[in-house]
Amino acid sequence: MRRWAWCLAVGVAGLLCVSGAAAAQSEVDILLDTLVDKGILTHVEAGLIRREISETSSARNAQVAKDVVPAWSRNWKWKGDIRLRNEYRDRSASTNVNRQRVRFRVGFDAKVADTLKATGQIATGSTSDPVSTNDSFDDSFNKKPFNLDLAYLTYTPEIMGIDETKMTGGIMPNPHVTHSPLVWDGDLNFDGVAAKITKEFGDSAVFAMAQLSSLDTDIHESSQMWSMQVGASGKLLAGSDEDILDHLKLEGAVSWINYGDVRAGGGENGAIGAAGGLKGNLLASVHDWNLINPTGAISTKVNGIPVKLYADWVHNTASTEYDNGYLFGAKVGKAKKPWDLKEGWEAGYFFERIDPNATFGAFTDSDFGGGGTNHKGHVYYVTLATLKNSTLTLKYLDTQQVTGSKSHFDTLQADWVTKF
Amino acid sequence: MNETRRGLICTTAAALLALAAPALYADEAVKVDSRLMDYQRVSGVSGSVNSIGSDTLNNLMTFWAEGFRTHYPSVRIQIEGKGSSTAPPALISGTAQLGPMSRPMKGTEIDAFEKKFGYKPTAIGVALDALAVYVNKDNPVQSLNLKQVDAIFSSTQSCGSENLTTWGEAGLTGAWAARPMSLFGRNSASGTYGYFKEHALCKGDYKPTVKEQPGSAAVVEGVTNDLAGVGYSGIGYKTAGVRAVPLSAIGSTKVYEATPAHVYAGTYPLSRYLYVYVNKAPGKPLDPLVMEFLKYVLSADGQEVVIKDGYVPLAKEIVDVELNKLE
Repeated sequence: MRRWAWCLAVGVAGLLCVSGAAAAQSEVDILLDTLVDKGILTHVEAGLIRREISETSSARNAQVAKDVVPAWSRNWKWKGDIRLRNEYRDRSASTNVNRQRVRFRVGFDAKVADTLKATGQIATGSTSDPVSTNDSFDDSFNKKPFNLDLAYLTYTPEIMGIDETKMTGGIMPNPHVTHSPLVWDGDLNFDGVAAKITKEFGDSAVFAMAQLSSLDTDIHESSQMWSMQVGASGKLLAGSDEDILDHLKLEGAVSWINYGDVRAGGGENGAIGAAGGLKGNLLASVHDWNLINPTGAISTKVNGIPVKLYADWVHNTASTEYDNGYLFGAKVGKAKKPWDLKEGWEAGYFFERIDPNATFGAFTDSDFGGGGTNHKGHVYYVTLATLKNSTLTLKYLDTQQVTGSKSHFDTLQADWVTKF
Repeated sequence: MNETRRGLICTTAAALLALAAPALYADEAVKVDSRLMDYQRVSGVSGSVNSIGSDTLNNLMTFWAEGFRTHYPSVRIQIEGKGSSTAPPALISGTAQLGPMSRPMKGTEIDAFEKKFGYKPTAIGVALDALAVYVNKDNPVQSLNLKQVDAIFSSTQSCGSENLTTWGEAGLTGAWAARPMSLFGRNSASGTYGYFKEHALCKGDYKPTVKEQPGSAAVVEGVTNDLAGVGYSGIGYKTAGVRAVPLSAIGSTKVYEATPAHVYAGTYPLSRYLYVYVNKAPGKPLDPLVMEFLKYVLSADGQEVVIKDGYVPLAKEIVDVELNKLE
């Protein structure tokens, strides 16, 4: 007798669900509950009918979503951010400055094929500054220019034995693994090609990367920069009963960075000029930049709060003096949830010394000492998550020159960043 | 379909129902369906199999593997439980033959699997999970709506509720009116924490005053020892010191008790299936080792393990549906 009741219940429930509205679902519940109360269906049978309806409804909704939403928009992701900055610069060798600045970036990721992705981004900034995307509020409300900030293709073929292979070409983000702005400013993008392979071993991984970038070309010469980086990371004690050990992660990498035909002797060549000048490098003792740059970090969680210690060192083998730079720092927390005591803040500190010829001055941190090399000092910052996708950061940079006039250059920045 | 036609169909159904004889279905304690058979060993089963997926099912998979190996000592089963999200890629790449998941696969995950193999993955329901909201046995609260549960446990009240901090605000009177609620929950590494966050707190955040406990039994113990205590834990961990509060879904006034019957019926608001996904091509048999493992899981022996780990075992009707998927 119960089989005909089952068929009736499924049929009626199915008819009621044709409209797909939430009201239809509650009517199904009323019907099934009544059938159970009357003893026509058991609880188990009612549950199986609900499960069948739910699975059918989910599959139908997924198909409708596919039919309604164009395929091209399903494969596109738009993203961007706005940063409002107030910056006060206290400089012993120049006048003090208080300025307000804005950075606006907007771009997209488009999945062109299973293994091919296209990325584009435009941003505020200057065409003659590779390490800043800021525009200042200092020109009587004149419109601000936009520049092409990113335009690259990423190809990720499946290669047997390799867990991830990534080939990139165009104007791309920094392909190096780095834990600090000692060698590369955070806004610096690379024009060129890069390839990276990664092999995973459980909770550990090793990688190798190579990149080639064009710095300046004309009919007389071509300046370029190529580099290779190898590294490894791993959670060697994953699964430990102690949280600190379970989350403990070690990361290390070493790069060899070779600048070609970027000669400093006898005056600046095109590549240096295009990058905005030497920025701290000493003409007398640097003729080339061939850098070795090891970097490393140890991170874990203490009572659920992320903690990270990191260090960077760079040595220019092509210089005869002032050829070292190093940085070590720590950060605690991760500003994710607004005003959350545990997950709503981040604080950090690092000490840096970047000698004049340690690295190519035009590409290093543009905020530390006003940018370029020949600075040393302390940096302190705290970030608060204020709203969803928004943070407020206060940062103080206390620097002075390593050699020369030893002038001070202190900076206080207040940044509001909203991502969308 | 318009409202009039829908009303006619319901009226017809109700009239037919009036002719049917009622049967008695009493609520039962959590126990294995007596109609399920014990697992029977077969020959020709050997080798090794990998399981990658849900951390919620980690214990279950481990106990099942141990029980299965009593029948087949030479079989090796490697288990990794880092989260349900790790199961689909492992099945697609072939690094796992068993993909335990505490939720159904998302559409994108099914699409990725179908793109690789040309057919959808097969979901085998292996147990039922239900979270109970426990109060002290002396707490007189009759029932709670999920919106109230959100108001009690959440700091962001993403379900649209308003903050509740005292039992008076939940409707109790007398000595209970001014009594502040004492909250017990799980730590963030727990699958129970994640499931409750998604389904009871509408993906919102917990209050910082929730006392995080290392295990399901510890939550129940905490509520037992605290008159004003309220906490969430698996239905299988109920003791005499606590009451499982009947719950109603948001927007509904119909209240359901945390009983196996309501879990089977799918009406208890905080209940879900636990799955093991496998790669089964239509019309082709499963690997014998995988097949027999799943048959063991769906046997009386396997479902006893479900009870021991604090979940609700499958009734025979459900087991029959799942076994059909393996053929």
